Amino acid sequence: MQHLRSNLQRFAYSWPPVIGAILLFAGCATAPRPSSELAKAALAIEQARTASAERDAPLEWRFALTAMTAATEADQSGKYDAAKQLSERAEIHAELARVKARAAQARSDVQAREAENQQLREQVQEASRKTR
Amino acid sequence: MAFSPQTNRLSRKAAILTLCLSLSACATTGRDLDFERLSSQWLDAGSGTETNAMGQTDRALAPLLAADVDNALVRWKEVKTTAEREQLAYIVERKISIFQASVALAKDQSRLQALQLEKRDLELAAARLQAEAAQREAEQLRFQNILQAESAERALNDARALAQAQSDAAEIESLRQEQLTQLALKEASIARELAAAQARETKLAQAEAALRGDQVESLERQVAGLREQTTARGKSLILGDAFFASNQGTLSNAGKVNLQPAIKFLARYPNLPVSIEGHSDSRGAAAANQKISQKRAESVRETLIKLAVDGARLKVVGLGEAQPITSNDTDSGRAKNRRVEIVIEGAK
Repeated sequence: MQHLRSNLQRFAYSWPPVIGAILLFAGCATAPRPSSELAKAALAIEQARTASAERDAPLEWRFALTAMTAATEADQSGKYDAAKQLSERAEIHAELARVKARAAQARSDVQAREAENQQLREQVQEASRKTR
Repeated sequence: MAFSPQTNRLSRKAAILTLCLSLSACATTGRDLDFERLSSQWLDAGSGTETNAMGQTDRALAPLLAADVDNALVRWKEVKTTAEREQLAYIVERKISIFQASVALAKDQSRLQALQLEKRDLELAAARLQAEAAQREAEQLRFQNILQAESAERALNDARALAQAQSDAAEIESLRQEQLTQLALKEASIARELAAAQARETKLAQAEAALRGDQVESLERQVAGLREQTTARGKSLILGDAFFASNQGTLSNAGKVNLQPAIKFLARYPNLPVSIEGHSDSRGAAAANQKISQKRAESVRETLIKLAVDGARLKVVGLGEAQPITSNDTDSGRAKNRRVEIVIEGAK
């Protein structure tokens, strides 16, 4: 907004060079800043962190973080197209990391519970064998 | 948007795939390798899916993703630029991965639920077995207790019987001892009584002997001291109490033997009448006293007649307690008053 207002001020005082500038930059200004995509990616990464993705899905977690860093850098250097693309990738990687982490946790839960049940089953069998 | 069952989804997926393939075939750009790869991946992911095996929590996630992927594949041809198409391929590929992961997650979650149920059943069974074992143990314990109680009771009864027998024996023994003791005591007391009786007898014999001795002595003394008395009526000879059986109206043997002085006394005065007079002390009834004095006097007369004295001149009179020669207040006085006087009337 500040930027826009200063442009308008400049426009008020010297409009011919402004028109020239607009014509010059028109091609570059087609992509808007991907604020929403960046925010969604950051949120997805937070959720992945909460789901202990760093521990349980380290590969996807690293991809997500790398993409997020690249997206932020692109955003800061005004490369909004790249920033949008990278933030979308960061989001989807974070989502994948989250789900994979949860899946891995569920898997280990299942394994632990299966072992536990197996032990219980053996105990019960032992007890019932003693009974007879 | 309602999600249809697996079979519906698969058929729809197949339809989309054929549509896309036909579209791509029509396209002038030739084969789209990304699209083919993703479609194939999606078909594989879908074919392994069992939505009814999904858990409660993530049942919603997989269908949404599936719809997402479906839409992306449907909109594939609308994406014009290569960059956009690359991005879409990238995203869809991850979405398929997410879908697969979420399906695995859902399966594991439902597996977890099943395991949870199984665990509960197992714990229940274990608890039941434990309870059964505890019950059996308790029964066993109870049984053992009963056995122990029975054996204890038997032992107690035996002990009681033994104690009874012992105490019976002891009782009998003590009874016997007691009887023996009593017997001994009785014997002792009898012996004591015997001894006492003997002692009494001895004492009595001694006393009797002494008494007899006394009597004899006193009689001898009296005989020795028999003296004629001269009274107003004439001469008299006094036979003391010692001549007579005590408290009786007859002469004692010793008295009979010692009547010689009286015979001599009578012989000195052969022609004079003789009065034999009995006297008593003042104890008892006067009539009885008169009677006993009379009898004593008669006894003297009869004895004198037996000793060859002429009975014709012997007159008898019982005077009782009427003429005491001394006081009746003392024993010796009363002894002196108990007497028979032989009076020769008119003798000088």
